[in-house]
Amino acid sequence: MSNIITAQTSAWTNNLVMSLKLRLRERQTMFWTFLFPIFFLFLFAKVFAGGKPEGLAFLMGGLLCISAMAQGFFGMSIGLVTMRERGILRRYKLAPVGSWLILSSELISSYVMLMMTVAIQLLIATFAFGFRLAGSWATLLIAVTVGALAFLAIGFIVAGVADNARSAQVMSNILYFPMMFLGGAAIPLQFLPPGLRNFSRLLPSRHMTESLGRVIVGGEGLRAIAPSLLALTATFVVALLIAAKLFRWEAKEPMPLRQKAWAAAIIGVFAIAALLVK
Amino acid sequence: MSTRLAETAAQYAAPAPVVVRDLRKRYDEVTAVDGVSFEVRRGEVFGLLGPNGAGKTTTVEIIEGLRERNSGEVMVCGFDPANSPNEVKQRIGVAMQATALPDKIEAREALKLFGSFYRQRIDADELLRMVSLEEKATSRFETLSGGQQQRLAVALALVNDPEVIILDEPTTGLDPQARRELHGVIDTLRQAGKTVILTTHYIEEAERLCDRVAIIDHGQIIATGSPRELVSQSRDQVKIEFRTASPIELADLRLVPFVSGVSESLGAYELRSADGTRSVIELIKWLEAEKHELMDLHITKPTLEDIFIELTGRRIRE
Repeated sequence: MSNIITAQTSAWTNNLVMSLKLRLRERQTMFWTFLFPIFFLFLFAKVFAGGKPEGLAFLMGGLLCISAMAQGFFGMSIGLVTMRERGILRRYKLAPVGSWLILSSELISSYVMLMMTVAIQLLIATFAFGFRLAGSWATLLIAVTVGALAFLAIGFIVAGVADNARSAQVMSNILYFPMMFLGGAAIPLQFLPPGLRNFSRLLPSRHMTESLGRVIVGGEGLRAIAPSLLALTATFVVALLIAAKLFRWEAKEPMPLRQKAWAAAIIGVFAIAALLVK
Repeated sequence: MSTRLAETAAQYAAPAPVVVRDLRKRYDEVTAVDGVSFEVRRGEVFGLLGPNGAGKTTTVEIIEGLRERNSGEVMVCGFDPANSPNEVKQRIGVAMQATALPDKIEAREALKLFGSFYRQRIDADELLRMVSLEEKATSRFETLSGGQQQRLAVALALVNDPEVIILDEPTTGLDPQARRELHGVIDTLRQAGKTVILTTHYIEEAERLCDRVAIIDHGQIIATGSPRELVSQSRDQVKIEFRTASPIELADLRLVPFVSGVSESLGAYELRSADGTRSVIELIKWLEAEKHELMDLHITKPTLEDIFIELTGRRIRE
């Protein structure tokens, strides 16, 4: 019995390491993980913040949130759908492994890629644009992690619902842009009309941007941002449960309508609960 | 000879690694598998031969635990794939029609990765040697030719030293050279005493590689046996074609033993015989005695293709 467990553990590690290696070998990943986020940082620092360090600190939470969303939607979900579309997941299905092996290594390797992006953005911001963090680095790391997990789990739902890479792309855009503009990541919430501002409480991007802002600018600690982190954790757990239900090994395998309705119902209940809880 | 017999006896006594009984599978309106039954014996290469859409892939996918069945029994190495898919997957190895791996994964990496998913595994370099891909060990999947990718797929199927190897149309879409190379690999597996299920719509492939063949059409098995047995069941007979320097009376040819039909066109004679060997010997003796000079002689045996046409009324690739 013990050798079975050993085999499973090494399967898991091997798959995670391979997933990371393969990402680093893809030219496209290099673009989305490094070049694009650096371009965004320059845009935010030079244009939006006008080169002022305080301005950049004010926008930095939104910038990191945008990086997390991009990784969850465009990095991970489209990658997973492509693996399914091309039959790579089918090859996995022939081996005695569960969907958790795929989901966990995709989740963790995406998280590692995102942390590289975040590290580069923070390093350049600090050394090139005089960025100063008011709060603690540990708190920032926790807030980024919790937010990232929420978006990665939502990315899994997209991967489960989308039948091919094209529709995953469309769905990712549908989620990415509203979350970016209405959640305060790209435009500060003060500039939004009150109705939209209220609606934005539904968006994980608002919770992430807000909690990061309070750590970066306000220097606040974990206790202060706990409600936002709790909302993001709830999003992560619920989205992951839905994603596990929606997971498909094969592109041909159609998703039953009941399953789609079921997922929509959970999202609905979750949304209503989020609106009621102040 | 006696050890060979003992081996054969043991082979029959051991429980068959794969048993399929009255298997049925429907997709909405279409019945893909309609009451299929067969057993695969230990150490044999068992062929499922049939045209595209006959139900071959559905049948093996149910055996692999990839697809659910509507009814019937399936046992693989003592386990039912519907109830214990992982026990079945531990014991079988599968190469699919088109195996997809990530573009950037190296051949040896893929074998090591998938090997780590199993309780027991074969060394990656040994597998590469078995399929003659040693030189491609560090080549990425995207740079391999179609034939090399397919051989890597077969190596992946062997990674857990499986009791049963399932090769689903492994040569479809390959050029003749790549196909020959893959046939060589399958021959090696047979010589190593592996149990193999091979699906194919290439008759020559079934004839050349399989110990036994089940011909499948419209989701049903219409004949099972060794290629030789199947051919010998044929109503079709051996055709003997020849030319001579001087003309012969057809009536004389009818007297050749076992000959059931004679014809002539443009100076070429054609005999149909129930026993080709005996007829040819008698024919040559008679031609010698009558001083007819034999110019050209052809013997054509019925093939699995003829059997297929006989049983289904059409060619396999239509």
